[in-house]
Amino acid sequence: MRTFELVDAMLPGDGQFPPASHVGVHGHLRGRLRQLGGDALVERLDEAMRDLDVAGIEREHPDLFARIRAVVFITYYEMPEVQEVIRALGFRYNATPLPRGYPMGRFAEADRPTHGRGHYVATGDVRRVDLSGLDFLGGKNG
Amino acid sequence: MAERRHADVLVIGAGATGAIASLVLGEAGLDVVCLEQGGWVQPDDHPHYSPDWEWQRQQRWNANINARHGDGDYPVETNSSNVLMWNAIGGSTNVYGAIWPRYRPSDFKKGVEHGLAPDWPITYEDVAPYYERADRLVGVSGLEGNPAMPPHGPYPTPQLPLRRSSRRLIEAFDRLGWHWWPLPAGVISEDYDGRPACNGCNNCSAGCARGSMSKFSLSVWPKALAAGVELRPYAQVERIEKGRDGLATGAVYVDRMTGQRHEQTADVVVLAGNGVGSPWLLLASDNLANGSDQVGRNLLHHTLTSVDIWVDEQVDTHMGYVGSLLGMEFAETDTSRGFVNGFNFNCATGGHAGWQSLGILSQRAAPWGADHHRWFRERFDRGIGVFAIGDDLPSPTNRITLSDTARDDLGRPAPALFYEPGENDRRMMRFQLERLEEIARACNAVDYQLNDYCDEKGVYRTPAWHLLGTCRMGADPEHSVVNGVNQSWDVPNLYIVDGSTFATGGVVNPTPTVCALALRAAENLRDQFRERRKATKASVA
Repeated sequence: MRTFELVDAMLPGDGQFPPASHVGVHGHLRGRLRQLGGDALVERLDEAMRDLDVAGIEREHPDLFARIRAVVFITYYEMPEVQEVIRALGFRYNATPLPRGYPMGRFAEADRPTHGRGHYVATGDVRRVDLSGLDFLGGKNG
Repeated sequence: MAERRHADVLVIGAGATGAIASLVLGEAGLDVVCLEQGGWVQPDDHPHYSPDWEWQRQQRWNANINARHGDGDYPVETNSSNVLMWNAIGGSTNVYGAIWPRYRPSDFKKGVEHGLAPDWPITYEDVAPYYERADRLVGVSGLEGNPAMPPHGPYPTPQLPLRRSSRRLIEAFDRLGWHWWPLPAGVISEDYDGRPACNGCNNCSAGCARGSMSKFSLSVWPKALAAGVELRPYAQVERIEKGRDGLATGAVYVDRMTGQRHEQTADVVVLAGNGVGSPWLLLASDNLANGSDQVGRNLLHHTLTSVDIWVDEQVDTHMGYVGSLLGMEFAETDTSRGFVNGFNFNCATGGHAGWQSLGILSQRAAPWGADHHRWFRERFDRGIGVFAIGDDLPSPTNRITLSDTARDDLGRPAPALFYEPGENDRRMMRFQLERLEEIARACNAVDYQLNDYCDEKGVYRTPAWHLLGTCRMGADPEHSVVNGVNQSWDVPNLYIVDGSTFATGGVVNPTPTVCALALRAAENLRDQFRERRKATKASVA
């Protein structure tokens, strides 16, 4: 299995979302894995791809797979083409968190809670509680 | 070794508490030098403006000190915890959540309440005025009138707006008949003190590049510098020195830019290194201030569990400040639940597309393959997160020691952290998970995933933001490290002002209380400075 085949198996696209390799995710995989775990992690990737498909890597090397998945998913959603699809689906979605942000307006006074629930024990009202039902106490942490 | 000018006060650590102490003492006209092993984190250093912002949170903006290996960091050997902190000017306020609730009166009275944790030597009422003043200094938003807390005045800026995720949770809490309240935050909802209001970018877990979430390098440090405090970045303190009279004389540090070793002397030393760094430095300084054998012990992280909830409508998951509501229904002890102490719900919803696809709190990732894109259409922007955070009992075996094997870049033994929840903590976490499941069901969740933060072997691997208890405050020198004004029992001109001095952990995020106590301690030192600079052990009470 080659790198572009791996990322496309994970994120194949569906007509609206592009396959991962079409937006260049495979070009980032080794470099970002190296940032996570050095050359040893890249060597593990290469070795795994020689013998296994994605399901096999997930099954036999779950820790490696988790890191591959983190790189592939995060990298995919960084891509402008993918973010354009997110916006086309009707979501507000900025290319970067700042500078625009997502201004949310002001707190509405109508949202002030009126339930009246909640209590606290005042300093002078703190009393010894009955521990007789907690028979585990006496060991570690009590 | 080069010697620097003698100072009135040496502050070690430029995080939240070091900043506050420096400001108070500097404004009093004292000659204050602050040593910080990290550097400045500029607004543009944050990843918020970069296309790879989500990736950077895995890397250079990873809050886990052992994953990040940043400029000012040191290794922390740990049996279990993911040790989250930031070493730079502003400390962990560079990368925290700024959830800003206060402790409760009973948090200070656990000795009376059950005796499985100590009373603090101070009460809620001693701290309350400092909460309000620290809030004004830091810049906080919130809504007064919470019936689950003692009354207090208004917050400096109004409550942040509710999001759709908040409304969905409010419906759930109302169905359950449980308390909820809009979350106070160390985030300003309108322009304040020269900083702009939050614009809801939702990248809060990588800090705040704008300073809307109070980043102390932007909120407190400018004032401290204007007051004349000398701040020396990249100054890694090696040890605190003590004279024959038992008083601290200053500290030896290495300038990380030049490699040169210096000695900074002072009349008073203020230690502000956090719940790992402060005990580490004391232990590495020939077991300084440890006549009680409590330095490093009683590490508190809080009990932590969470749930990811997915609902059938868009709820602004990736928009707005991450925090939304508090739930204090179970905050007080009720032994009929099968444990002592209580917990709080923090409703925290956030994360952009990549993080949502990886499972924000529960790590339950979206499927790969053909189903992934269907998942995205059905789940993106429909996720809600809720944490339960509770008061873990102190244990002397949960502690910071000096590592036998790991070394920092000066070749010193690194701190070693051991943490394991006790039976009371585990019972509480099981109860929390049951309640979190009730919240998910009351939300009419289409799906949910609980997270107990245990690995496949059952080892609790908490994301340990909260590093408390390791230089505990107390009423006597046999059982505590500092007194009620944060003064060392053993070394009277040494103050410890960070979260390590907490006697108990409370049920909420500690930073507001950390700040209030630092302000209180610094003002006490300021007001008593003439006496404290020549204090004797017998004078500590």
